[in-house]
Amino acid sequence: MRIRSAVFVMCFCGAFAWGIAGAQSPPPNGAVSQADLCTATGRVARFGTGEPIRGATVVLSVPYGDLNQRYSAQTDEGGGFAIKEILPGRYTTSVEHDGYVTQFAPDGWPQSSQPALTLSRGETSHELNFHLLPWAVIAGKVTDEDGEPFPFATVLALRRTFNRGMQRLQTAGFGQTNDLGEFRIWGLRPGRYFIRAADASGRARGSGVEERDAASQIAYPPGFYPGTQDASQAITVAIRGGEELSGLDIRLTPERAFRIFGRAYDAVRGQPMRGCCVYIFPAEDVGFRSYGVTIELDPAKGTFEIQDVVPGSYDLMAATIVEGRRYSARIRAEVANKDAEGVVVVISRGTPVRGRVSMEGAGTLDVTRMSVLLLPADDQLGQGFRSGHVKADGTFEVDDVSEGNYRVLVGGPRSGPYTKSATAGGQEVLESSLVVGAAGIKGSLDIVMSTAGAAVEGVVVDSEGQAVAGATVVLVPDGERRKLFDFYRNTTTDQYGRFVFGDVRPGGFKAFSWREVELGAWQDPDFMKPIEDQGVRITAEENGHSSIQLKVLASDPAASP
Amino acid sequence: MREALVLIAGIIFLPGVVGAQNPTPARASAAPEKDVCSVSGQVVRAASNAPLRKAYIHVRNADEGPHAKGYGTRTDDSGRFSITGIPSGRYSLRVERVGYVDQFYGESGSQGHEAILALAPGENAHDLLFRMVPWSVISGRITNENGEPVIRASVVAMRSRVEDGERQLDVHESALTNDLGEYRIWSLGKGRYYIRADRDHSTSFPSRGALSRGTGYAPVFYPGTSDVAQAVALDVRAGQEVPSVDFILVPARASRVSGHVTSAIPGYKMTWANVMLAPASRSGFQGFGQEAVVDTAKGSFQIDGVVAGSYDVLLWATLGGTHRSARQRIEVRESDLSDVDLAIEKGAEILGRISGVQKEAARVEIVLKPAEGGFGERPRGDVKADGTFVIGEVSEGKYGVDVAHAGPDVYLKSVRIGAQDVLLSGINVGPTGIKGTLEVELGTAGGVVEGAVTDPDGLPVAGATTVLIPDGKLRTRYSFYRDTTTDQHGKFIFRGVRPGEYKVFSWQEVESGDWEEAEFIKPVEEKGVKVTVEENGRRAVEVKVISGDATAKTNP
Repeated sequence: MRIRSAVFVMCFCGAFAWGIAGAQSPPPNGAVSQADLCTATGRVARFGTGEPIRGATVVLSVPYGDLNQRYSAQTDEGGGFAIKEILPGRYTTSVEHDGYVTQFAPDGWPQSSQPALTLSRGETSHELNFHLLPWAVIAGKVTDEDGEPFPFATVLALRRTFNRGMQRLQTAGFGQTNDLGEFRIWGLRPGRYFIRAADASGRARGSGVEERDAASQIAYPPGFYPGTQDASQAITVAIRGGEELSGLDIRLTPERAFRIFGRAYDAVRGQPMRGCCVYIFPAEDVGFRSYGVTIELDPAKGTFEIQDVVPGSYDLMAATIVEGRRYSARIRAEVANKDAEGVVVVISRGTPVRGRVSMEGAGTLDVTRMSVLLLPADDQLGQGFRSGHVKADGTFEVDDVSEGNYRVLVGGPRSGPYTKSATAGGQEVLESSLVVGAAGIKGSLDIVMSTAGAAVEGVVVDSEGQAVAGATVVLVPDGERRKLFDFYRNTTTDQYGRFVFGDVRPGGFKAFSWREVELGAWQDPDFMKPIEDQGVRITAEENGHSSIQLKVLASDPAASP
Repeated sequence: MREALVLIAGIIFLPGVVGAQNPTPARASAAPEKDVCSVSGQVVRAASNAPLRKAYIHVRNADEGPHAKGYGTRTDDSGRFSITGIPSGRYSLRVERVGYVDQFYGESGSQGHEAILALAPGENAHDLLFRMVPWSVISGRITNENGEPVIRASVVAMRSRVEDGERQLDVHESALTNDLGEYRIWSLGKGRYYIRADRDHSTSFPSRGALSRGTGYAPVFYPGTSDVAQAVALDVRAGQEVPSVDFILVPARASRVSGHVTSAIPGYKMTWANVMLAPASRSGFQGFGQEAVVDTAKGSFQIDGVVAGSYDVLLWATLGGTHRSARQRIEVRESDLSDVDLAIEKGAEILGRISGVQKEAARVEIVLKPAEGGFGERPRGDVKADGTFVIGEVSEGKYGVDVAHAGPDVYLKSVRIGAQDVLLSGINVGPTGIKGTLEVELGTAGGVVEGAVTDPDGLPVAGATTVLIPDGKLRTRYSFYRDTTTDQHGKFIFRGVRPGEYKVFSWQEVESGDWEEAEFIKPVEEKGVKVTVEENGRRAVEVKVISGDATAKTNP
């Protein structure tokens, strides 16, 4: 979780010039005098009772900034704090204390947003107050088919999110059951949750592989509260701040389990794989990737047998290190209602993808921390990516890329030039995908960054024309580009309801704004359909500048407590 | 983690020929008709003898390696089980059941010591009875100096153990406190546990509610001391729940420990590194303290909240795909300690050759054990077909030479560098290695020591821990110690024993490794049965079991 801090500063001097794209970072140290430094003060109290909270940590920091632009203080007996000698800049705030949900928005701001507040030179302090919501707790018991306690079960509290173009369930908290089958998940913020329990005893009813009769080959598949494997049948629970919801009992029922017989082959060294290991994971990613079982291979033949596998889809992975480099392979294995045999995992050497990043437009390319990422086009979970650092001369090499289709992305500090194009062998691959064959790619991958993007700025107002602070603003790309998660832009408005996007890729967009919205919801076509007409059309042009006024949309109910 | 999707090899499903299985009882595949044995019996709850269903029985061959397939089954509604089709041999049986401590066949007394079930061809071992004891629990609450709950504090239950002659504390189970400051350590077996409470130091979930710079928490040992030498063990009975084992964590002055990691290995990029502090004391290892992630770009690290004391700074790193480590002892006083330098050494290469064995050479490994013990990496090298071996990446220091995977009948006969015998003295590895090559002679003409253990009434004792300890100069050569448990007839056997002088001891109840401690053996030295083992010789001895705790357990 990135801590973004904001310093809320009231300017007594009236209107000031609003810089576009440059407003991100404060002026360099050398140019700031003592008179330019600012102070921020405020109070932290408990939501509801208003009782002051002592020892809360208040942090102000610049997103992506270095440690010198991070300030913190602890609240005193009265819940008050003061941070002095702050450099001008655009900051985000966070306040945390055990027992409370970390708060990013001061009072009066949309509570689910992470506002960025602007601090201009020479601003004085202002009362910055936070009311913290106490943690919510979900507690209960997991039992087996006979109602007996189920220890060693991992219980996850999951929230629905939209990420990288897919709806996913993300883990918000977890607990493990004890000998009484009891679990307690604390530290939760208000919201609506799915509860899912999974058998994590890890021993899979045996140490090592065994000959077993059919009646003894059973396993417990994970289940959602109150006891179903189907997410659509699961009962979600809504909790408010400080609430303790107990008595959530989840029943897990066993199923006949099967085995996977296979072998792993190390094509890099040209021999059956020896020793360790093959890893098996459930293919469907719910919450975090849990319960990975590690299987050792027969040293002579490179074969393996995995027991206690409940019917379903799995990913089998194997890795090995040859001359200091790691090679791995992952395949999908389906287990229906019988043992799966003859499964083969082959670790092979991929090929390097080489190329160059160059820049168009004003300025020189800053390759600090820049890397080129190749993301397998069908890899929704983002785990199979490969990357290569960009060197000072702009060249890069991505190692060991296996055959497949990849999205090309440039990673690095967020602000700055946009990725204009990526071509390989004369073909444009940025908006489609890079096809890597068994022998690699033809020629090199040429990526062009550009500073000739557009600036899009504006203000968000409500139905009465009042500026809305801390509103989320999103630029949704047109047409086919909606499928490309990296083509979306989002930010939040400052205390004046203003927002700015720099280096926007030329093209058509629609701008939307919400007071409260679940992060990423705008990538969900179902979510966008009913509000499509309420967006404001923008055509971003090279070196162009658009200024718009957005009407804030009704809040997304899923986002609020 | 980087993975490459393999699109060449999809799934190849052969027409499904599943190994035919009969429903019950569990049956092994091809075993010659004569050599087929079975085991059967019942699993019950110890106190009431009530049958336990859903218990799992695991049968493993005690003589084969970890890749050998075992046999298993689940008890039925009357708590009964039956497994047929097992080839003759020596087996260990383990029963596990949710809510109960794992039980081993023939287990009497100390945990983890089991008897071997010897199955002669065609033998049916029936009416085996396993009595399961419920888990024991230790629970309590941790508060700070203001009486507020301490969240995510770490509580560990440790048992005392001896390894390579050194006593140390092993973490058996651990728990973290929840939002109410409560913890529960469950699934414990009976035993004597040292309990330690501390802030949780893991980097994966850093504690919130940051302490101000300059304060930290000193770990607290039950019943409430920061000094491990004053810690008292909690005696936990089978199935007992010990509540209210509470602790108060009080902030203490703490310092910052910072430094750098340097690597003497060119070309290998450090992709990940972690440092961890382990409080050091004469009581040996007593759990880990704070850890921190190393900035791999700058090689720097910083650990806050370190209270005064002696620590070993341990480094684990991944360099160019290989795993490396380094360590250093530091003393933390009242002020910050910076410039702690951890150097990952390139390590030297040690060349050597084995003699004395032919076809067994392929699986043998030569292992170097750091003389100072602890977590030092144990460099090792595979013996190649031509009998030579190379042990790479050996850091400077003193090591004992050992052999692994040589099989039950092979023993370490001698270790030399040139004309110098280094079996007892060990080797000194300098920055460039050793002068000369390591000549390791293995012997296959070991002797056999077998016998029976009886109690004062002359009755055989099953499941007695029987130990073969070298006498004389090799008494401190712990790798030559052998131990096993007596089978259901009270019999034991040691094969491939290195010729020499030994003493055999046997206990009803003993903690693993206790016999390596000189203090422990001294009072019972006379009870050991002397035996001289000759090449290819066979000796039979009768040993009287030593019962009860031979020595009073002292504080660590």
